[in-house]
Amino acid sequence: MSLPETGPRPVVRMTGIRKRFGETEALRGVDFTAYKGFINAVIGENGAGKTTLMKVLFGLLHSDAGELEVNGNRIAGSHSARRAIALGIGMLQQHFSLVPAFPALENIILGCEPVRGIQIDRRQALQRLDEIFAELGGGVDPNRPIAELSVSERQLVEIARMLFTGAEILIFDEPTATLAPQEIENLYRLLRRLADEGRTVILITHRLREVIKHADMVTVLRRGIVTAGFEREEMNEERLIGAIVPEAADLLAVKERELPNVDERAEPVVELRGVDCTDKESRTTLSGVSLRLRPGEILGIAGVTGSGQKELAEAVIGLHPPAAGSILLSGRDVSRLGAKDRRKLGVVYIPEDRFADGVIPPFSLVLNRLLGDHRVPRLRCRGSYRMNLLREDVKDKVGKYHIDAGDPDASLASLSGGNQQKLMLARELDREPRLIVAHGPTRGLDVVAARRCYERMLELASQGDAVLLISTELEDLLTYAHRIAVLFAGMLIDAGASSELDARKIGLLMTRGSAA
Amino acid sequence: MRGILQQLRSGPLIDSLIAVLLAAAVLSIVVALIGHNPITVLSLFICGGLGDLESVYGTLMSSMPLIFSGLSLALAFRAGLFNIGGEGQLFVGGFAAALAGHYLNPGPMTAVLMMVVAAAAGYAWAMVPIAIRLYRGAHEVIGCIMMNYIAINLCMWLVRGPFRAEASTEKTPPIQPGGWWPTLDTVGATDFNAAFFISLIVAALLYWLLFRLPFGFELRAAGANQGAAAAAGINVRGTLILTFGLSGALAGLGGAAEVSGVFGSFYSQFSPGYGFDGITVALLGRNHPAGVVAAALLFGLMRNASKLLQFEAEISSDIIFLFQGIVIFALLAARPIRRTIAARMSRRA
Repeated sequence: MSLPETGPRPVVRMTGIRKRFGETEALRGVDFTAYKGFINAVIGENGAGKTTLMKVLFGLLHSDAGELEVNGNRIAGSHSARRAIALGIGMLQQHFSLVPAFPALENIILGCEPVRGIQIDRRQALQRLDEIFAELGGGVDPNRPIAELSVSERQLVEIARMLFTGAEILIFDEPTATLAPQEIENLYRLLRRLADEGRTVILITHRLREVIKHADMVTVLRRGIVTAGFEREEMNEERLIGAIVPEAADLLAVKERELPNVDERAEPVVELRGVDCTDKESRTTLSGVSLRLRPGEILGIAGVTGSGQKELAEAVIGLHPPAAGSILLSGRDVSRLGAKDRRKLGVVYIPEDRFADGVIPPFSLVLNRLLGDHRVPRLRCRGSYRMNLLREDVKDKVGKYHIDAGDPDASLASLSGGNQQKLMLARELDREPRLIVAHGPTRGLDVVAARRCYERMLELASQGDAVLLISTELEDLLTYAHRIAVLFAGMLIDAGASSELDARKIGLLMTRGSAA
Repeated sequence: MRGILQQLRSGPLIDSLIAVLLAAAVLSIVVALIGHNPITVLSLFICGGLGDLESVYGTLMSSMPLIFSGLSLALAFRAGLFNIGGEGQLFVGGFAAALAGHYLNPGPMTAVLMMVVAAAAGYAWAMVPIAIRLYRGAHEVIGCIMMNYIAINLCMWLVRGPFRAEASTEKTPPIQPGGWWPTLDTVGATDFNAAFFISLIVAALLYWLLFRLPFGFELRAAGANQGAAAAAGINVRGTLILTFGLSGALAGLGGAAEVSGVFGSFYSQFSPGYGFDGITVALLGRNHPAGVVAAALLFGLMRNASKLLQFEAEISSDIIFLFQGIVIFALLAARPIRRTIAARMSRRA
């Protein structure tokens, strides 16, 4: 199938969509059109309303006003995910929604199992799955449980699942956030293939370079309204940034970063000597990891997801004692100290998954701010916490870190994902750290917020802090780290100074363990 | 005080009120179906529970063991743990208190000593299931149920055998006079004992622990998100062990309060399942000490009034257990109901 000569055909048309959550209006009259055979990108800063808009389209949220048209038919009455699927809409959510213990096939057919009589028709399911995998140009063993698959294989399963339901309009919410560079290229090749076959791809992302390289159309959202739309040939980085956040264009215009000077003779802030770690089942997760960070030094850690990044971070902050080797903080052996004592020595931690390890969504902003500082005497007075002091502190941080939040006593869950991340960053980075362990610190942050986060880390580094920056975003590592090391199957390989590296070389180390 | 109001404001308090009203509505239907007038039954409840000073005292004394077991469950729930072993901890606490009150005699300090002994016994009894959970991975509910059987049967054997005081009743020997909390007032056959105020003091202390002390914050954080708590330097395992122990101690205190305030010895029928009733009390009280006291007062009132109900209307006192059961389901329904009402109201505004 190819595009009709008469120009792009709109498949989805949303007009005047409004959606309010309590006090805040997430969408204030959004018009959005997606075209058949196109990769339609939606970009915007945190809380701009991208995900909300797509949830309205997929029927997960009800809009307060506005019209929705799919394939030229107006959708009247209440929309729902069931109806959206019947209309041929599929959505790949930010967080995976697969059953880890189920094999790939069962996950794919879940919800629309083909049946013969009263039984599930496995043969028919397998046959259709084969066709889908052939169409996708790749596949996984249908009998392998999801838990055994890599992140990109899981994503493939999710895409296959959408196609299995017969989806023609495919929504992808931040699909590249957890992928390695090669995997990202493969995904975009796949998206292009789906579009060329006449499907409609809608892509939400923060990564402007990917939009410019791969999207056919882009719609820019800002605080719940559409500020711009560009076609392929009109896109460039400055234009997109200008539309996303006009006031921050200056901040982003600076391309080259001045990294803080590192005194090679200074005593290292942190040193790992041949650290081995094992998990609960005694499997090796880190083997012989050695590294040394001096004051002001930023070490970037790259690696395919699941190569030992989390284990490295947790070993450094003291959640798991090393099975062998030693960890030193400012020359002192802390291998046997727990997280509490290492925090006291100035180790702060930005975990990869804030929901699992960073914040407590049902708790208020103030209590989330308090987490980890709850034994600090200064914050207590006459048998209780100094709540007003803490509230003021949260208000300061809300201003300083540009967090979109009002009441410090509101639950953290009432904030958008990016703003939750910002509060966690504010809590950790303002703790007067000596060593910052940051695992994907900009996850869920828009371009501006991400830039601000790194600026703050550079500021702290120039004051003598050391930063262990673990990330899958190679551009960020190349820009902000002095040196880069690659985790490959639990081993840490020094790649060298970032000024002498490029994404391709790191990518080879990530996937093969050697640059050759 | 402002803090308490803030905790109860908005959702949770409204949910509990909706649940009580809903459960009352269902109960009215049941009452009507068995041929009684719901209005009459309601008035009997109010008369029997609050009608005169004697029934007020009775209501307060019936609430006392429910306050202790409700607090016990609420504390464990806050840390994400389910202490269904409250009944067993109550038994060992009560039995240990009765023995201490009989054999030891530090004069007026006897009642305090009994509480300490009961708390220690409850704490120790709770250690077994939580240790099995944290070091071996078996769910604490299983361990707790096992420990309940052991506690109840052990205490029963002891009170029928080695520690039986007289042949006619299944009771341990009486506690020393110093083991009694003072009786503040007596109306008719009802003694109003100072032990009731101990339960309120314990509730206030628990509030302070949960919402003012670092340990309380740590246990709530560990209950809400273990990963985030661990990354923030909290010793999650230690926190859970201590919390569960304290939960057991609270249940044990309930046993001591019954011995020191009501029976004067360990009596084989001294608990009609208070440890299990604590589950409903904690859920209805939204795991908040003030909410627990309020919920315990409600159930205490119904228990106390059930005598009158049985006497006047010949309705079995089991009706209050029916009510407790319905409340749990009603709690599940309350939130969607509140949301629907809120959505209607905001649409109209």
